[in-house]
Amino acid sequence: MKKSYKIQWGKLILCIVLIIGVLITLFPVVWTILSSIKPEGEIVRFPPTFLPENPTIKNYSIVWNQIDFVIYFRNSVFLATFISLIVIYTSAISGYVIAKMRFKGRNALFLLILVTMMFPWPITIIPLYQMMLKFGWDNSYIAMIIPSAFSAFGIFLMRQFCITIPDDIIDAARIDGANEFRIFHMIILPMLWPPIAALGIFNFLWTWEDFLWPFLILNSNNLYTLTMGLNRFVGAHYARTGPIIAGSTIALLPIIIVYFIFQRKFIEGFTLSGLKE
Amino acid sequence: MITIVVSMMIIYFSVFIICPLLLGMYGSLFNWNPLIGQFDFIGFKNYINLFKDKLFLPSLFNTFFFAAVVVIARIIIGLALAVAINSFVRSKSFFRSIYFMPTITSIFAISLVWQWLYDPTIGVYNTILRAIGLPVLRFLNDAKLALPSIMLMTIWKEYGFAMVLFLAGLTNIPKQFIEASYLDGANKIKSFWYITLPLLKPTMTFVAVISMISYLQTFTQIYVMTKGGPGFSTYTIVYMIYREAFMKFQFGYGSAIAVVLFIIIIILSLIQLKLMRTTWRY
Repeated sequence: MKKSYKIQWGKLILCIVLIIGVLITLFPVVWTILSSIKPEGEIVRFPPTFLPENPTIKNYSIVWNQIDFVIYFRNSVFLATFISLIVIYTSAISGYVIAKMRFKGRNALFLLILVTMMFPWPITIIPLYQMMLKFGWDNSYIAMIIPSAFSAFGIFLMRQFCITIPDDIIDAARIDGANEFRIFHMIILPMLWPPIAALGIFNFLWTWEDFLWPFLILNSNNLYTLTMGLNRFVGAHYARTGPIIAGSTIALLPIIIVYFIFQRKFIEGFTLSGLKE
Repeated sequence: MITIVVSMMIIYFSVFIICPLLLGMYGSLFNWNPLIGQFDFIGFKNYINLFKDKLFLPSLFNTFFFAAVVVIARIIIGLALAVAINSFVRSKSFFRSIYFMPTITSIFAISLVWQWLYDPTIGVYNTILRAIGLPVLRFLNDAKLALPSIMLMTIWKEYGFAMVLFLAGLTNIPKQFIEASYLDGANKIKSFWYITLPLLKPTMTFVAVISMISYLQTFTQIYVMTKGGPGFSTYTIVYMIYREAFMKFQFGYGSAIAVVLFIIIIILSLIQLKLMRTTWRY
């Protein structure tokens, strides 16, 4: 009897600590979202208000209309989605071929691809940028998409998954007369749902938050991504903080909402990558 | 089908990954300025200048300090959270999803937000400090506090990922192991230290290595929040590369710094892997 009483107290304290942690974790984001609908005067006021007293969408209208965030948002959504779909496809088919097809130099190729994961991006970005200029791809989405078309990590993930697929299924399909193309698209691809979700999420988040590459490559306002829109607030010493907060919220909130709806998938995706090491 | 797929892979990785790497290493031996079409061979001059550069040592130190502290904090906090959350079976997913949330946010946007939160006049962190009677901290404007402030933000953003991996690792530990240790007379702490922790070593190694590689390349936070300042107190290696290559257009010099970074990453990764090698068996 005494023992269970002791454990209760310990757990209670632990619970309180965890809840404090929850508040700490949420606070910056919640504060930002609430501030984004406060008028400028209320944001900078001291003592500050927690809930907005005079909620307004003025900050958003400035950022959406005057600062072209509508264009940037659309571009980011397009790029993140499109590139993720491409990476999913190339990783799946490459991973499958490496996992299940026997060809000369297969292991060497796989090893090579793994090794490229170790290359720090600062070393490849300089020559890659030069290349884009030479190819004439600067200021275009081609430079955003093609150099990101394959993902070594994606291929690794898919290959690990494909290895666990029993050969019998594939052999049975071959006996039934299906060609390789059909086998991959009709049988294998649907089985790869977990790594597809994981890879899709990773890639989407990565493209969504990517800054330096779009910054270097893109020059036209109508091609800019959301991060480049936010870049206009960096060091610019805007007179108003409202638009900065609203702009940041536009970059943060949609993702967070999608995350909380699909949290299971997000978390499983991230743990998948960790366990497959 | 195989030929097409394999050729595409080879083409892609050769053109967009291997070729740039080799070009970068090669170009580091040149006085390479793309704006004026300059590409003159100068041997190791870039490297010599690098070691004489007064920004190099501060950048190196800042980067190492940043990486070391944030990695360790990430692991410790992640582990602590995972262990704590693991004991609350019913609220597990609630806590897990909240703590993981910062990880999925855009680092650029978060940096902007925290810069505002850290502001000495209108930032809410100082408001809280003032409310409890503490003096105002200048955070990003204070040479001693700037880098720790950025580190704090990074830790906040990143502990969720470690927590989630450790939670998965904890659930994978067969209950019998822990129960057996209790039967053998171990208390909770001993059981954790001698059974759970060693079994989590692979996860810890994974988190440590990928975190370190990532933090050694810290750039975006610096670019957004402090641009290397105040003084040189928040200069990181990659920020230095950015300045040299994309602001001063010294591609050769920038590449040289990048090569040095590459070597550092390889050495540190190897050291880490050796240090954290596991020898347990089921």
